Amino acid sequence: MVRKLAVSGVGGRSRRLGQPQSPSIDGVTFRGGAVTTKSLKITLQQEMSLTEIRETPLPGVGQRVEFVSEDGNRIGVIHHRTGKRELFVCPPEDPDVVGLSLRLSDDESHALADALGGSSVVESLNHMAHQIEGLAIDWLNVDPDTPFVGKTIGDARVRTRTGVSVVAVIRGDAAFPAPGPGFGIEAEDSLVVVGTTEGIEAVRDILTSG
Amino acid sequence: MDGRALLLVELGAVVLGLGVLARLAGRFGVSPIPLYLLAGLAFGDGGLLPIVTSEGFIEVGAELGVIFLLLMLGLEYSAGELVTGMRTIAPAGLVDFALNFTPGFVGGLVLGWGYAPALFLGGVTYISSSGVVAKLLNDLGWTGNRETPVVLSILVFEDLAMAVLLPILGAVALGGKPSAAFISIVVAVSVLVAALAFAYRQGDGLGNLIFHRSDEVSLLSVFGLALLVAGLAESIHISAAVGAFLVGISVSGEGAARAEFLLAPLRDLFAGVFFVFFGLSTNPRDIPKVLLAAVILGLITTTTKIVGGRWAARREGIGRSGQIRVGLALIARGEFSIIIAGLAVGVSGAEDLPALAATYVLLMAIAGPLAAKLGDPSRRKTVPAVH
Repeated sequence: MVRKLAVSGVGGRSRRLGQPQSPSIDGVTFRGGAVTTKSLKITLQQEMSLTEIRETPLPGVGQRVEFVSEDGNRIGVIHHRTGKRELFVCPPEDPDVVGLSLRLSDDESHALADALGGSSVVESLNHMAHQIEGLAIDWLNVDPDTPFVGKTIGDARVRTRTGVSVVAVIRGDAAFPAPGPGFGIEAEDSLVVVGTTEGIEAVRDILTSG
Repeated sequence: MDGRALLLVELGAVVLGLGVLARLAGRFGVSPIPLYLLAGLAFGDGGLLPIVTSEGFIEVGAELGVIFLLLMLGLEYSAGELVTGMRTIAPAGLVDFALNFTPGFVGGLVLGWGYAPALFLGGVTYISSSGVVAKLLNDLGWTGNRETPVVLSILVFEDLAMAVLLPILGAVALGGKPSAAFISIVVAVSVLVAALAFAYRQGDGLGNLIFHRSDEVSLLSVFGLALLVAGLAESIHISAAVGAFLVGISVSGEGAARAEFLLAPLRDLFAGVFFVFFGLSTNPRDIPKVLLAAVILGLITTTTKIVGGRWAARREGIGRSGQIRVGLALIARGEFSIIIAGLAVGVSGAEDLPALAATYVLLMAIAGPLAAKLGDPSRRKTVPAVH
């Protein structure tokens, strides 16, 4: 169920959870494994498309990021320009008004994010791995001295040789879902790969030895 | 005591007094602005304890106070924010202007002041206090409310409108032939547009140039640049305050964030001095005869802010209680009204303006937050917010 928010402010824009701003695998498509692909996609869509995140600039104050939870609470975070973060909840009876707000320092927000279960990428990938027996998902770090630095994913012929798909590339804080064969690999990238356990091991070898 | 010793003692007493008042204001959760004004009234000509020696120094301090207030205001926004803000809020901003400038302007005419002072009074009643409103949103926990972006956008519009108004009022204050005034207004507005375009184009460039890992370098660069541009702006009759505002707008990014942090204590000091100075130069004996006018203007412009705010919020699809809150949040007037009234010194017919503006701001800076606290339709009996 996709909740559309009423226009909640001036100059606001909304995005789906997990567009390239934050590492996530929304937008990933699977080319191999014809039988499992469909159900996997449906699972993913149900998992990922529920929440529509809305960002609103607050001139002079900072930025507000919010979404509506399934039980009707409007939940959001205000990123103050001073670096403070304010977590707020507006109850369904009066979604215009903040019912509870918490001010968090930098450290406290990190602590809270950790307590809530960290990055959504890891969570969704783990969830996906549970859905299909035999499917393995792993993150492979690209060593600065592999021969593939500066080459493309196509050059590495990963899928041809191992049947493993590179479903996303994580570079710093940015994620590039569904990279094409022409996508250039850089040192320190993380490749998110899907395949069999053996296949992923093979990719690991290819990445180190070429 | 000789002159220099007396100067230090008087200054020390004033600044220490500001400290005590700020503490008091913090205790009761109100804006210190009205208290500073009251202190100025008490120490001024015809007040309880007139101070004489340090008045020259305080005058310069007050000048710096205006520059700091506007510089910091500019630093809060980037040119990009201003431009996007303007686009979305322009109709509501214009309605807000028409509704709140008119009562002051008409009031000035009714009082028989003539057109020039009436324009200043219009400016006094028009602009809400960014400082008081920001504190209010924070204190009442309204920042996350759905309607808050509307409030902030209107404030942005008002701040920009003030950058246009100040040079115009400056030209009016100078007097002279209407053609001369017209030319300085055209010059002022063109410089303003050019500076905004420059700030919009260059992005964080100036901010990065000024930003230095040494705080000393950053502070001196920003402050020096602001003073320099303020002085140049004043010399071509655009008003020093607008010059400082433009410097603030042009500096963005990391440089702006750091500069804000470094300048905040100086702003607090000199803005405090500015309010005291305004109080000093206002004769409290003039207040009784303008009190009735101030109260009437206050009632009218409270209503007009609520009406304008509701209209703006309704356009954005905000619910009824949120609409009312937008209006309530915008009632408070403060620093900008005083800055505008301060410009009118020497305008013929505006002799009662400082007393009226001071009284009006005293009323509105106290009534605004109070109205917001009590008038919120969604106010709960218990306060659920955790701070």
